[in-house]
Amino acid sequence: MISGYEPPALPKTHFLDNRIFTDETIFAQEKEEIYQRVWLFVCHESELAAQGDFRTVSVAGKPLILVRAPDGIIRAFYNVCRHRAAPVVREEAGNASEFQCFYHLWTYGLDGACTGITKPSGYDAVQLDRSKLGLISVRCDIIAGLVFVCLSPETESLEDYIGPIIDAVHEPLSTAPLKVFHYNKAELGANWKLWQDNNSERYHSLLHFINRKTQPWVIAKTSPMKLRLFDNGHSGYWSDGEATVTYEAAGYKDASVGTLPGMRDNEMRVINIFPDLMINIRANVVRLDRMVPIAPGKTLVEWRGLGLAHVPEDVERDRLRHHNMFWGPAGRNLGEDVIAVEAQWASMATDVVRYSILAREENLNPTDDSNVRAYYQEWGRRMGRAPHAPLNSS
Amino acid sequence: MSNEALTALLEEAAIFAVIRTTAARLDDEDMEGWLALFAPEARYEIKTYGPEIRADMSWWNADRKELENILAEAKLHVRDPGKRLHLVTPICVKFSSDLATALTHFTIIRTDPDGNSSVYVAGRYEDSFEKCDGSWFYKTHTAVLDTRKIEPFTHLPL
Repeated sequence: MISGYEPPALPKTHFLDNRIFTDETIFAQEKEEIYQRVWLFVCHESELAAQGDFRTVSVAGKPLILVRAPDGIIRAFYNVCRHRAAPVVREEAGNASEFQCFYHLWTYGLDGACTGITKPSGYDAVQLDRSKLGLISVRCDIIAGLVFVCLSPETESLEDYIGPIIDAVHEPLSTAPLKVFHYNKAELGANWKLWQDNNSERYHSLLHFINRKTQPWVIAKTSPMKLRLFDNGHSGYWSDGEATVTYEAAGYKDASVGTLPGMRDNEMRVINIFPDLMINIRANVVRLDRMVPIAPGKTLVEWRGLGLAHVPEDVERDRLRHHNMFWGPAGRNLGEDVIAVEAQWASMATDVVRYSILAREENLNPTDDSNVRAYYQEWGRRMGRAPHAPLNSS
Repeated sequence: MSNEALTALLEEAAIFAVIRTTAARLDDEDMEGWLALFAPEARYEIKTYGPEIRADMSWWNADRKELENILAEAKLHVRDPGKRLHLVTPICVKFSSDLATALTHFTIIRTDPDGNSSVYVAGRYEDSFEKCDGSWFYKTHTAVLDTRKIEPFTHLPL
């Protein structure tokens, strides 16, 4: 009798125990060992273009404020008042000259310093030192216009953490002003890693009616695109020459108008930064996926569309239309991906089939599993658990 | 009642009938019937305001030809199996010669395959109409959403 609990007869690196996606203990540990220790993408620098522009985000369950200070530097703070721990900022985004807690009206400068305490004379007897009661700062840095934060003071620098994979997208992301022209978010009924899987493995492209027309290499034996593996679990896939997507096959005209610097027409480059950022660049648009794990089976995903800030109106209109036809919430591909990972997670949670197989070896063609294997080896290293046997005590 | 007032009432009723028919055809996934409510040069759009990026966002903007192409392939996609019920409340109509504009509040109730119903989307239709051969057709049909998390995503118009 076939058992779904029998490990596949494969190398241990080539399969996963599906409980890494469903187990509460593992989820809690991920928050501590991964989300509180690595650099995490939070927004694009253009979202904080002017002095005083701010954005609130949640990272590892902690509320943060990101703000461009008067010196031009983007800083991050915990969004919690030092007085009685109320949230200081309650909007998603905005512009401010200072922050004032709505509850008891303590105020903070854009540099995080506490600048005002209500009825300060009430603290004279205890000589409360306001200078030591600024907002608690969080490490924040930018690479290729992408703003990252890190909750741990011990983690290496952002540049060292990301490493050379950023070279693949540096030119399109860094040589001309960009802007976020699209944003949407949804709470997926799935584990956060399944969304990163979906962004990493390419054989699910066959799920997509459109990709079966636009990416013939998915079913071909070889592809002009190759997987690229980097330290810290980062990976990507792109070609060194040939164009890789035939957008016209999907009925899109002028899909490459307004092409980003360094990108060829009809080119596609994808890099996945451990643990949860995907940068997917088609000729004229960048898609950025960011995740906020909420529970083992619940993940907030944010999708951004990024493009050149200064393009003619007709190019902007066409770019937006093309982006949304693939990747918008009413788009042709993204909805299929969401349905797939949600159904996958619900099925995994039944624990009928305990193992997932990551055993494709295709000389680094995009449908190879090497990148996904490398991702889970990094996950295992950080968690101190074997991805194929995460709940074994030995 | 004067003839003018009666005519205005009849025209208003005709516009409201288009809006109600829109809802019914979307509920039935009668995409050909839905497209038949559009003038040849009409556009359809889904919009909302994104406080996260402090900007209006357009999530679907297509002319009638593009809509025809996309909707013809909708059945080939892996889609949400839920059933939808559009509840529409026409608020006001304004006329100017052979053109009209209308505001309609709408809610979409989604029922999943297990029979659970919930509010899927809330918003407003901000529409313009043109009269052709005595009938009103959409010139622009715009769904302006209050809902910003559409779950699950949609391969069909809202």
